[in-house]
This record gives sequence, structure tokens and C-alpha cells, in this order.
Amino acid sequence: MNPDNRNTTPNLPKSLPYSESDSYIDLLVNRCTEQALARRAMSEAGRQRPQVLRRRIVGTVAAAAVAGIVATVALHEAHRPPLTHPAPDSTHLSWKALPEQVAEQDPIDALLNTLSTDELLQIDEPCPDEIPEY
Amino acid sequence: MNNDTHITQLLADPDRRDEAFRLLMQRYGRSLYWHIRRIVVDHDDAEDALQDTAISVLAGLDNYRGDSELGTWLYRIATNQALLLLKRRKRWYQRLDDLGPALAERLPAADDINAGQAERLFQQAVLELPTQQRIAFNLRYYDELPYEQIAVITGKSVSTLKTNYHYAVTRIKNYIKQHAS
Repeated sequence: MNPDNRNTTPNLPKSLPYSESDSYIDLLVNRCTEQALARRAMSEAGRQRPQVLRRRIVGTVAAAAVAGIVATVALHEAHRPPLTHPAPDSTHLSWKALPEQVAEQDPIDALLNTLSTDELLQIDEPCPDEIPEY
Repeated sequence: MNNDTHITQLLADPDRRDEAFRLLMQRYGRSLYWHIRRIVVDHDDAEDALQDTAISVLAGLDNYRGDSELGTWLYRIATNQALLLLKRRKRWYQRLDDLGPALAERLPAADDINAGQAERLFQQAVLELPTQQRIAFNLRYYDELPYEQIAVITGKSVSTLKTNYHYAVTRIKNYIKQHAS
């Protein structure tokens, strides 16, 4: 370095309150130097990996990805509710009657069949006793 | 022949770059360690930052164009690695400039026979400085670098460095006066 030796702080201590010796620090520096070189050598060796090994790794990763996709689809299919076709006389309230069935039904039944479950539940059929006298 | 000139010549030959790197670390390694240690305080942290510095220097040798002196270039890398280490060590809500008290706790104990009271108090005072100011102070005071080189290492202007150094010395002296028993 190019020291500029003007002493601008004459009364302050220059020594540090640390105990590591020069020889210890030199050993540390050598170790860091050789480790940096070794690390670079390993990095370069890794980049020169044979093509066969690279293809093997790529193939393994691709196979794992395909297996994952297949497993995901199978799991999804296993939890999917089954498709059902309700019987014509089903009392399932959301079932919509076929046109020919509607023609044979009572008009009130035909109307009720067009309503959803919630709509049906809202219908409050009065008891005969509750009908006020007109 | 100037050592740096010889190393620079070796660097020009790709086959002798490793030899140049070893010479570089032999020449500057000790100074770099102490520069880092003055920033991070803890020895283990200094060792980690020095290792990262060596790795960065080796990686950067291929691209070193001689725009700055070798020593200045090395100090710049070491400074950045020390600051990176402090950033990794600090909590997310802490600023770098707030680390002084925490770093002061890492100084050797007051009853350690190798840690003089005056040196310890002085380091505590230095650690009270904002980080960048502390780095500039260390480079000027301990490494006795000219302001022009410190300006390249820290990225600050010479005039800013001179002003900051003056304020740093005043703050350190005031701290020592207040805390000296």
C-alpha cells in the first residue's frame, strides 16, 4: 500500500484488543487461499460431468415428474363423485322432469317440479284450520 | 521490482494465475484479515468473511483489468464481504449503523490479559461510529491509506472522507473522556 504517514491522531492507541498472533493469522490466510483454490477446482470438475450422467439425471427427473402427474390425476379421479342418472320416479327435488313426463302430470305437480329445493321448502302450505273465513 | 508489478505480470498469464493468487494472499492476507476484523469484531465472523473474500478475489482475477491498484481492489472486495456478513448477522429491523453496541459486546472481556483497557475503550468508541464512517476511519487510522485510495474503496469523495474523519476523531475522543474511569 502507499502509506501516507501523517499522524493525525497522536494520542489514541493503535493496537487492538485482540489476541491472535501474526503466525496464526498467516496460517488462516493460507488455509483460506487453498480452500478457495480447491473450491474452484471442484466447481470446474462439476461442470465437466460426463454426458451420460447428465442424461441419466434428466431422465430420472422427467420420470418422477410424469409419475407425479399420473398420481395426481388418479387421486383426483378417486375422489370425484360418481355420475348418477336419477330414475324417473325419483323424489330428488332437484330432478327436472322430462317433457313427456310433464305432460302426464298434474299441473300442480308440473309446477312443483320446476321449483328448486329451497323454493319448495319456502312454500308454506296452510293447514285448513288456519284459513280464515272469508 | 514492485511486488504488485510482479503479481500483475503473473496474472497476465492464465497458466500462472493460481501462483499470482497465492502471492496476492500472502502479501495482503494479514492486512485484509485485520481490516475485516475491525469491521465485524468477532474472530469467527472475520474468518468467514476472509474466506469469502479469497473466493471472490480468485473468481475476479480473470476479469481484473488493472483499473485500480491490486491492494485497493482487494480492500474493496474485503469491505463488501465484511458488510455482507454484518447484513446476514443483523436482525431484519436493525440498521447497519445500529450494530455498534452489539459488536462492542463481542470485544474481548475487560479482564482478558491481552485486552488492554485503553484499547478496549478505544474500540468501543470506534464502534459507536456509523458503519461507513467507521470503515473509512479504520482505513485512514490503522492502514494509513491516503484519502484517494479510501475514496476508491468506499465510493465516497475525498472531501467527504476528510470531513467524516475529523468528526470521527472528535466523537472518539469525547467518548473516551466520558467513559474513562
